[in-house]
Amino acid sequence: MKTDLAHIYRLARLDLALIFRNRSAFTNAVLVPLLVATLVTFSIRDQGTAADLAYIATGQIAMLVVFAPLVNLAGFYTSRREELVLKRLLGGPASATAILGGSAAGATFIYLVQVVGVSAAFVALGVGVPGNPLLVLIAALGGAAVFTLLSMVISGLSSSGEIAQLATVPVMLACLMLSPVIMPAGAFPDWLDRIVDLLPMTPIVDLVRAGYGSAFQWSSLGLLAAWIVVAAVLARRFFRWDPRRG
Amino acid sequence: MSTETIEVGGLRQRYGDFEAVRGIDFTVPRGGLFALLGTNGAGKTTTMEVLEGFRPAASGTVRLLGADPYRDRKALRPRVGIMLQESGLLGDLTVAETVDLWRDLHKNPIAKDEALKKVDLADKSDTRVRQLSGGQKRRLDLALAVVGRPEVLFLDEPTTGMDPEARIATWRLIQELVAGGTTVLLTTHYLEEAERLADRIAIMHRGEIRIAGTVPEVVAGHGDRIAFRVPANTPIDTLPRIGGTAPEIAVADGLPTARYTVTGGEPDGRAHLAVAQLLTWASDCRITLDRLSVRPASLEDVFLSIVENQ
Repeated sequence: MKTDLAHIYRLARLDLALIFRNRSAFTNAVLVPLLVATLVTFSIRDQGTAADLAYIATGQIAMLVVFAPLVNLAGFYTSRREELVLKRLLGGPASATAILGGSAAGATFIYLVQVVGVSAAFVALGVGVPGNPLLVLIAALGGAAVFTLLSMVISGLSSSGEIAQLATVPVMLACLMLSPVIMPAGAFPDWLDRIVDLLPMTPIVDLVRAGYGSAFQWSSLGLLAAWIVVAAVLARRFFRWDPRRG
Repeated sequence: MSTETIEVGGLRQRYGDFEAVRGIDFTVPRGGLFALLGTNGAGKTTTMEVLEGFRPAASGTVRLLGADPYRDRKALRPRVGIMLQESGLLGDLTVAETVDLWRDLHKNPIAKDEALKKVDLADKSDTRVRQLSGGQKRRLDLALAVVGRPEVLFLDEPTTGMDPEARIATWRLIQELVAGGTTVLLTTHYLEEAERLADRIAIMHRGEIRIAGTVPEVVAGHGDRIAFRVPANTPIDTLPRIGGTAPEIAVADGLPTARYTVTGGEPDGRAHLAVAQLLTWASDCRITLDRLSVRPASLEDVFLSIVENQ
């Protein structure tokens, strides 16, 4: 266990270093999420009310989870598997948990830094600080767990890093456009709202907003935990170490 | 308690309908170097991957350092060095950073400079991995395999893509490791490599070990080879049969060459008898035998006879 944690730490450091060396990874994991958060937030600030701004701002904190932990990580896992890097690492002293966990930890760290960064920016914009930061942290860590596990599922079904990143787009769009990140809750027909309530992004954004003062519901925590279990089962079923090519 | 570091008994491995390994047996003692030879698809890499713990054995017994390599891989991996057939290295890291990463994952690694010196990459330490040649990547991969002071080293075609100088340096490094007590399992396409390094070899073909032993044991029983250049104006069908065998005609340096494989009888005497018979024929026909050569069967002869005849 101690060795696994040391290996996770070492491999997470490696991933963080590589994100800043790889233009595509840096764009996907760092630049695009900050750009999207900035654009969405400023367009609302100029046109909406303070309540609208708070709604969108808290949505952005949740939304950031799809970038480093999902889009970038799915590409990382897949390209490294196809280039035999994962297998080479697995042939060394690090365990499978440490190898996958190291990359997941690196992506989660980037996401958490982004959450802290945009939260600080929202304070400057007058949104205020979360009344219950623990709920925001739980939402962020739980969300990172769900989406890093989903990145393994998508990686297992993709034959290249590029295809894996493309395959994350529908997931990302469903989370952003259907879950109450930008759209107000209850904006869709009842049948669609019932589906939206079950999407993985919904409990994350609900918990973030609860951290900022909305009503807390245990069902959000339960749904997030259920998504972690479902994503873990799917990742175990679909993730693969051997290349799909050849 | 077994003294063998690697034990394989009745190993079978299947991919769907294709049986890649069909019940093979071999052992490697501590400090031994065992080479698996064979064509592509012979089952060498599959055998290696089972021993490396990448996949469980479908059936049979496989023990590495007394443990199950798949079930106990977490405990075994720090004691094992692995060099895969293809390098899986991070192109954005430098050579030094790559070695540093692997050193950090091991408990008692050798020094970075020592690792790089062993594979003659010290002058490339600041070079990005993606800028290395294929042979240099293989050498870096070898450095990673040995950086953790492994008790057992798996080398899957380690010198493929290396230039002759690097290949010889790699052979020297492997010999040093074996002399230090490291057990090595090697696969290679280079027969010279196996002859030079291995205590014992096995030739695999279509998932089976067709022959195994020391090199002299493997070539024993495969007869002697006699060859000479077919004289001008000598019809092929007038060449003598030796030991009841007609010659094979091959073209060497643009000229036809007759080749005999002489088997049976006592190993010490059969070539003498065959040559005497040949010289008598040449004398009777007033023919000079140009480029006459007599030699025992080589590993290449045995390998080709197994691969071509079955």
